[in-house]
Amino acid sequence: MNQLQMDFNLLTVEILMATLGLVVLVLGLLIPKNQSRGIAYFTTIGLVAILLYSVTMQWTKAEFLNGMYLIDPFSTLFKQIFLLTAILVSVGSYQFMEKYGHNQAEYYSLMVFATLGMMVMASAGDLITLYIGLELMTISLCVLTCFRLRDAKSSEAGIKYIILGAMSSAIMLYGLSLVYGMTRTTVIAEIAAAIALDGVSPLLLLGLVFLVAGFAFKISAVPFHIWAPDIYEGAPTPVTAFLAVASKAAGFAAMMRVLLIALPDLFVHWNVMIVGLTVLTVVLANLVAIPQTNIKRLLAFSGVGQAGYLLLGIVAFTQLGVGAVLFHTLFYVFANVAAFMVVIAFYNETGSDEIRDYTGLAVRSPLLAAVLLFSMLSMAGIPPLAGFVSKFYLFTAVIDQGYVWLALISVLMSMVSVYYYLIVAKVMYIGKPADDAKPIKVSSGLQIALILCLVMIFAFGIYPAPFTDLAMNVANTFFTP
Amino acid sequence: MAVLAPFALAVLVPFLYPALGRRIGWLVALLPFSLFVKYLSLIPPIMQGEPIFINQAWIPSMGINLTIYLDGLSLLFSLLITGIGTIITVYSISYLGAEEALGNFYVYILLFMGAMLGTVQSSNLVTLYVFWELTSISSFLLIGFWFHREESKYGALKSMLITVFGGLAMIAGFLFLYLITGTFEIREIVAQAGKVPGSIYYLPALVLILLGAFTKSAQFPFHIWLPNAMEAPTPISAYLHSATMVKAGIYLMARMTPVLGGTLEWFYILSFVGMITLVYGSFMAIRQSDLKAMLAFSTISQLGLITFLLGINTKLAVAAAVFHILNHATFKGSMFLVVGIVDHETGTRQVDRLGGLARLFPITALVMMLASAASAGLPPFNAFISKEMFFEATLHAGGAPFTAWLFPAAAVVGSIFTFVYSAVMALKVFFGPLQAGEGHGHGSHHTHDVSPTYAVTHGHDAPERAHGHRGHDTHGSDHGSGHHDHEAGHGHGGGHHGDPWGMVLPALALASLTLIIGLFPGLVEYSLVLPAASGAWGSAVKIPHLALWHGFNPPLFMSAVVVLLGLLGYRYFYRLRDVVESVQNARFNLNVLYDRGVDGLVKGARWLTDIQMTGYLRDYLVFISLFFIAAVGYTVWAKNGLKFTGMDLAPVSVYEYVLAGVMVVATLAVLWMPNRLAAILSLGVVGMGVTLMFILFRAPDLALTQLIVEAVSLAMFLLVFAHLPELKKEIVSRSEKAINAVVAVASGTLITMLLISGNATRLFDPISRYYVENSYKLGGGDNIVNVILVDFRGYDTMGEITVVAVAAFSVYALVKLRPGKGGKQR
Repeated sequence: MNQLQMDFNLLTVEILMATLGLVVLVLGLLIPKNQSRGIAYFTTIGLVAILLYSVTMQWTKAEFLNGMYLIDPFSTLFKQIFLLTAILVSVGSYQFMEKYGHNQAEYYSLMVFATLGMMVMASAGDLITLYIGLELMTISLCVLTCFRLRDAKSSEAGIKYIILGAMSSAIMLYGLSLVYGMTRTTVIAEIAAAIALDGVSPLLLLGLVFLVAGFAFKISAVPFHIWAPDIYEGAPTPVTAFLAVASKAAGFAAMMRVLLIALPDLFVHWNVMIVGLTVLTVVLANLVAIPQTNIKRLLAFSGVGQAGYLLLGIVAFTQLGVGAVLFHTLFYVFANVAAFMVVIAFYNETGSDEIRDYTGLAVRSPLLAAVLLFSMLSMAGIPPLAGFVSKFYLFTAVIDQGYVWLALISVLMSMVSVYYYLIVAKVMYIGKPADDAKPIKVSSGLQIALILCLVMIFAFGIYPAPFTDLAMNVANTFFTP
Repeated sequence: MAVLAPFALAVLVPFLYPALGRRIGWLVALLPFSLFVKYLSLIPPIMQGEPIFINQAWIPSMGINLTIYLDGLSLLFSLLITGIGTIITVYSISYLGAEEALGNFYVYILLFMGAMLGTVQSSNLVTLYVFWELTSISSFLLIGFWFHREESKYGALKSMLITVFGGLAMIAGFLFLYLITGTFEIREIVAQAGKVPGSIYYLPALVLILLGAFTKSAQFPFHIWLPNAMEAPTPISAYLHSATMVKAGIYLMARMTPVLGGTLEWFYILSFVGMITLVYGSFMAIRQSDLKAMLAFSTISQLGLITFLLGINTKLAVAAAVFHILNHATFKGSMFLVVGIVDHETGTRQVDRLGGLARLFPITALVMMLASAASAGLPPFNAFISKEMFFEATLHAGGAPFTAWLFPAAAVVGSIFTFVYSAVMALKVFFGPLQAGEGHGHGSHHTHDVSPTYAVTHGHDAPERAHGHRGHDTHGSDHGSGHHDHEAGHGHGGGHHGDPWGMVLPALALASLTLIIGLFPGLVEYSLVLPAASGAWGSAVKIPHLALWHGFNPPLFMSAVVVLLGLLGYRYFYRLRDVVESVQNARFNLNVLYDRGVDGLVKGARWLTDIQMTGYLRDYLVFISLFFIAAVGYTVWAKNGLKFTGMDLAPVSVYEYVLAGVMVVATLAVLWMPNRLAAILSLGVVGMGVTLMFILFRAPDLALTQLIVEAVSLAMFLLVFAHLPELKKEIVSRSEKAINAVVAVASGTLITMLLISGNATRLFDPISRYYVENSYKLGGGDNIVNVILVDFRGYDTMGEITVVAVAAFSVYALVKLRPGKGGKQR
């Protein structure tokens, strides 16, 4: 047997995360209930510190345990994306959890563990490791989803998430086992070699179908999206933001690793499936978003649509495609979490998630309205905001591969998406607030986070070069072994 | 990088506004003015054919740069944007009351200015698109400026939807151009222009790019947003929706002429769309009773005229087009400003409630006379020259034989209507008996009588007109007696203060240009018109001198016809308007189409939502399973994925058949049991069957495990049941049941087949053989399972033990924490 490669320094980020989660949990038991704000601050500070530390590993490329765990720029960037989301969401949770939650330490520690699960998914060099990360994430999120005690919607969402999540996990696991059965290995790098040697067998293709379906669940691509809107609506809003952004990003990280690195020889086969998923997702999600009256459901469907655009990068199967996915995910963190933070702030004051109650928000809180407007316009792909640049990359990536029609459908559906985003904009900006409407107070922590997001949405759009360079360089290292 | 200056100032305005208050308008006006002067200073080098070129990397990895390219065409537009921008800003200082959200207003207008300059100066299609959409956004914000009005909302949303739709089509078209030429740089595309028309991507690129241009420039049938956009404050309408923004589409077409032009498709699409827009717009303008709506349609028709010229695509036509862009901005801009003054001072814009205002506002009347004379195409004003060129161009358009008479005829018809409404705006409003609307309009914009949609206009205006004007057709400008109570003084009209100078002077400055350019066309011929035409044509353009007098020729004859018939039309204005209204059926028009389209989209989307998002978990499971089975089933069928041969199976004994039979029956029984208890017991039977199977296969340890699991789960079920409500029989439709049955059977079959097939496929030796061979040799034990647990996988076992221990601790903790009888706290 070879020498085991076990340089634990490579795992510093993960170890720190696990430690943070445990410390937060224990702190919650030691600290009196009325001091729980401190735990929230502690979590945020801890996450920021870990994010800063992860920068030192930005370009590290190494293996742990003979390829079972990979530390490369690709996974590190994704880890930073998860951390960023977790930081923003934790800031967005302060008031919300104080008002509607209970047992804050458990909440924050579950969030940290879910993030850890995502990190494992992004770094997994082995199918089993990947699955463990996936389960750690899913189970933590299940608990978080029904974290609002005695709220029927939250409980319902939790049950739905557990059952549908278990189903998707089962499907994925079946696929993993079929792939293992056909290739004799679970190590991602070795799978590609085995397939290159043995050729493609029908059972392997079946395994591929299972895998793609399992991943489609995680990234909520149509027709496996169906869990998303109900659960997004029912879950506590900070959790929804986390689900919508980080868990989706983790799904993409794992999916890209498996499809592009482990199964490149099956490209012709999975490409058909992904193209199908893309078309269904982009078309259906954008149409169905139109009649939504609940802002969380609207954002859920817009998020499903965004997953469709991200799939374009996988369809392209090029360095540009991967870079575009990375860039889009990075921007999407800011745009989408910003939108959800507005929803949180609004809910904290008014207790409503209905779009019609947003009437005249521009008067009641110019900051909230501006952030929601620009994050939505950005998601619609309107220049000069970030979403335009990333969509432009994604479309160019597929057009370079000859999928002009696919890009055209996506552009057409972007037009549709402008419609439902604009409806919200219309309500906020050119609607008259109710006579008894009060200005909405936003806590200073949330204000800072919102302004940060807004700045990033503009920065990504107006001067994207540093971010695109980062994404492209990371994508560059992704394909080189 | 002058393009960025407005953005920089826009960022500063919110900080300066509190300190400066209303005076900030002057500061803002200084910026376009200094830019205007700067661009004027650039005329000499550009006349020499030395365009200015600045390159700044933006997204280098995609080859997208912020390139500024200033040739004659861009310079003409830049001058219009900054020049009229200065006038508008100064005008709006008086126009907007101090209580309005002035800070926002100036931010938006600066944003727009920067975006517009960026659009016309970008030499990269992607950056052009970026600025292009930014103009749409700032237009959205400015239309919604008076946000409390319902029409503002409708108008803002509509204009944004249509122009953004067009913009996205346009970027798709740009992508096609990129596929043909491999670059987004306009100059590089022009250099490869020869490749474009022959390409298979030519037609999609052309259609998509024109969609962008037509929606922006309000060409038929996309013009419907412009009348609604008139909800914006009047200076904004003058600036965005007449002088500059709507000409972005025209700019794009002119810019693309060397690349896309010169083909039959270009010729027919542009000339026909332009021609229809010209005639239709001027025709519709007549029937509007709101002065601003009239201006909206007149703008549409003039934009159509320019498109028409670009479609004809001869050197003369292109020169006429760019000249008319300049002229139209001068006369239409001043007409808007005058209407703004009238509205501001009298509180109404209804043609039928206004008359004789020249007595109150003599200078305003003068401005309107100048502007509308130009608009009507009278000599010696500037538009007369461009109109003559237009007539000349239509006479030599080429194309099919029928265009030789159709084009000139349409040009004349459109011009007649144009003459009529120009006359109405000048003579009807400012002369004749004095009427100054009702009430005083200072800043009271809430009372505006705005109704740009035809249906509404028709509905509320017709009765009044019938009451006031029928029978007065013989003398259009003489107003009916029905309105004599609106005499000045009564309505607190502007009589007391005369011309509002803050607004009149900027308007006068603009209007005087119509006469200056008309009398001295040489001033602009070499400095602006020819360089701009050359920029649009792609190479130097030489045309006969711009002049008022070219001798007795067909265009002059056409002009004479226009004037004669136009005068006749003005004399019988009300009769003409009745005819127009009877032709235009208000019940069905393009607005209805738009409204229905939006409505239908929403309804369709709702239907699509309802069929899948039922909220029931079981429906979701069915939905997902269906797709999944379809995907797996298809793969199995298409790839022949299953293998059922080559298994080494043990013979099946009688017991096994019996047991299997019992399990099947028990499973089916679960479905039909009336209550939970019976169902769970049936399920228990299945579990016990499995246990017996294990015993039959001589696996006592497994059987024991299975037995414990069964017993414990049964016990847990029974414990929980006490807390659950009665099992209700749910009514499920037959078809739903059928679907459920199909999905269930299909999933079962699929999984069974997969299991069999997986068992039949053996690519390599099972790992179990290793243990069989080595457990005694290496582990020293006969019981293979034991050896595996404690030797081969000792670390795993230790981990498992730890987990079990931790679980035991937590169970203990949970038991201890159980709330007491009094129900402590949760």
